[in-house]
Amino acid sequence: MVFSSLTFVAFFAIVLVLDRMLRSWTARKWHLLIASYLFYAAWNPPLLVLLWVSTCVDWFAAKGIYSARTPRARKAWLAATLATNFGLLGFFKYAGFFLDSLAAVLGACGVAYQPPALDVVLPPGISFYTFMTLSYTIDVYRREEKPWDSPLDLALLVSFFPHLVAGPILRAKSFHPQLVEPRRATSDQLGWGFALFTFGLFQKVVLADGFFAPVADEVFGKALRAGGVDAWMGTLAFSGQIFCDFAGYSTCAIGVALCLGFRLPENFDSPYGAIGFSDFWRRWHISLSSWLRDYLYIPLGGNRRGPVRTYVNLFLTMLIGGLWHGASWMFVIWGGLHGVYLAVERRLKEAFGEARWASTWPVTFGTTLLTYALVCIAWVFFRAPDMKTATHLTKVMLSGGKSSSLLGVVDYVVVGGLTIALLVAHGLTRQRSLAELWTRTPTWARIALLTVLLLTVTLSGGDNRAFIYFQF
Amino acid sequence: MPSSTSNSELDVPRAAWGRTWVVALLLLAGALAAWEGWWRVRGYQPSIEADDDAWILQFDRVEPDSTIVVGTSRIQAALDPETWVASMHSEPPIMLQLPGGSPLPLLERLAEEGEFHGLVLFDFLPMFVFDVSGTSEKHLLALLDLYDVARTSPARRTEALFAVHVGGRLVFRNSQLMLTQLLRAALKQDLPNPGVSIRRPGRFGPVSFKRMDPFPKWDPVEGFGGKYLVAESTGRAANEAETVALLARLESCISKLQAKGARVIAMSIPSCGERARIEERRFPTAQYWDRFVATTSATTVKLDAVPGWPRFDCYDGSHIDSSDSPQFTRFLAGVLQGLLAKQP
Repeated sequence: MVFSSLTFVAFFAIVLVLDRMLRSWTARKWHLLIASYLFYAAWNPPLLVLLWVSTCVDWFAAKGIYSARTPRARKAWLAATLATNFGLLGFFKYAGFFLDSLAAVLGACGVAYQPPALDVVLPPGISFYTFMTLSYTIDVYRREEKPWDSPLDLALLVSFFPHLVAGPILRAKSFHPQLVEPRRATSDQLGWGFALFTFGLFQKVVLADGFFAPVADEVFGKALRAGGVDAWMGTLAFSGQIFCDFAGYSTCAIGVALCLGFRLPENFDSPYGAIGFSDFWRRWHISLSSWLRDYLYIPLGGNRRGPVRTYVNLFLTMLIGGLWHGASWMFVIWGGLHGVYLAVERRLKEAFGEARWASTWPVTFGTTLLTYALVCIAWVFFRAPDMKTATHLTKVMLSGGKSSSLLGVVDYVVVGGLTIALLVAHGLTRQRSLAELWTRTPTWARIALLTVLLLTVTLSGGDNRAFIYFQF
Repeated sequence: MPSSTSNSELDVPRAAWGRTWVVALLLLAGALAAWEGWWRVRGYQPSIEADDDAWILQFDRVEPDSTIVVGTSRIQAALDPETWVASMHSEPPIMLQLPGGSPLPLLERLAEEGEFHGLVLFDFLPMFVFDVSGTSEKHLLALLDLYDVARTSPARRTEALFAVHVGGRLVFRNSQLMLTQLLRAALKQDLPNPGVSIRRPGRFGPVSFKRMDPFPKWDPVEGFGGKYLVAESTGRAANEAETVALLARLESCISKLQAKGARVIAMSIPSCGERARIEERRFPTAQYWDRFVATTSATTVKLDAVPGWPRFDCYDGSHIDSSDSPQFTRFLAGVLQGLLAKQP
């Protein structure tokens, strides 16, 4: 059930009405839990079992870790939950990939191996809820969080439908207070929640699906015929599509949760206005990058074990971050590219970071554009179906390539215009929030904006594409 | 609008939200009503997308004794469901044809799995059945894969029902009239024509070629120039060995279906004008259709060889106009009743 479907609108209307009717906080939490399970089961009912397994394992593991008397017992409990969670993730998401890779390696060594055909359905959102439940158990292991008293609360944290299939990835310790303290959306939260939902739908339905996706699909679908301009336009279109798609989903999720009285963490903060790559990763998919920082980069040693180890840690974190997105070497290369970007940036900062010219506006502006251009080149590897396509596209992008023929003037106008608008918007909103801008807008303009956004969403919603991040 | 909108940690803006939303929704309702009226006045009618979900929904309806239609867009445009009900005294058939598609993978699925023993109406177009480029089977194979996943998805089914019962009643939900499509069309000065292709519930898709703008791309005598180019280059005709293999594949699944009690009627719907000449040159009747007739255990019928064939004009060279579809359906019903009466 995607947010941009009529099914979700009907589902959410019923959930919201029932939520407003129930008085008891416990009853409302049960209601939200059941609604969340229905939301998930709407994709594929048997996959609910995985959600239950994940919840139960982490519930008992956290209790076990907390009550363990020896460090070895604590570690055993942690190992059990890591093995279960990564085992499920590994089987459902990566088994085929690893077997194929193994067959390729063996083949290169002259050993013929035919991996078994695995007919496995990828459960929606498994990467998201696995990381979330793990953060709970690891926090308990680190003694940063006590095991929760209520299994209902943990079950609701894991399955809460606004964030379930594509994030933001919640942290148990920051969300727990919202489950303990009774809450109900105020009229301001309801109004703003609906407004956020509308903004998110506009990004997804109109911008991502309506304008960017057709151009990106055309170029990446016929990539070997693309010239330099085509390749750039297709890549710019994909950069717009993936941002509007994923940020649109996150915005919808935050809006829906707010209508129910819950606050979800921000997931995007004008990423294409980033000055450098460390800034980009503070603004793009924030809940994942902060998860990787706290549960991978820092445990690996972060920047505390000398410069070489820091670069290795950065690179490893980004490689794994790439692999998190999907079982493909293309995602690994994408992550690796960002690892290289971050390492080079770190080296440059060490060399020139203190120089006065480094903070002048022409350098800042140039760095922003360079960051965006390099992020776009990395997107080629994220989107391309194979290495041949990706190398061809990057080659023609960097060399100019042959003349272009895939796209027409209309595509150039649409993608070029929207990309410039996106970059300007991100540059302008680096330091301001949407809420702040909204507060400064006169009432008539707010009404007009909401009307126009809803109208364009209603008149554009024929495609009904799934959100890109559902597959992760 | 700033694209980064996820800053929910900040305070929620205080406003007269009730009033804001009521006024915005009223304005929205008014604008949508005006937009709907604008298109209806210009001759547009509601239409249902014959998309992947619609196909899955239809395939899901197949019962062991159903009547199903497989083949290409030619039969999709030609069948009129109301006339079918009146002439055949039965529910409209389940439409599982795909534009430009070969139904072989579907026939194989029905032959191998389940207890299907109903009636298969096979719109047999050699251009697609004997295409060995893989293009003609690609979409159907993808749909069957999708069906295996989607049939367990209540969300997908519900959305498909919404598409029929809500989207199918509103002109502005017509895919040609989606805002982004319209904007692109306007920039290319290629706005859609009203009422040309109305997709109806059940994947029936009459096409009103007579309502098409005759200029500049449209030649009422020769049909679509563009379509003919497609016909020239569509697929790759099977060579002798491939033809033999395809005939064997066809017969294998047809005989398995018959063994379960199903009846298969393969029919050839003629094309017209230049299109017919191209089809005959690339996929000669003697080499493909006649050999199929000679080797198959299915009932076959070449409709234009049946006495009383009304010789419909297919304006684009391939499809029967929607104004002729009731007459075609009546004719087909007569032919089918005759054939079914002869079969055991």
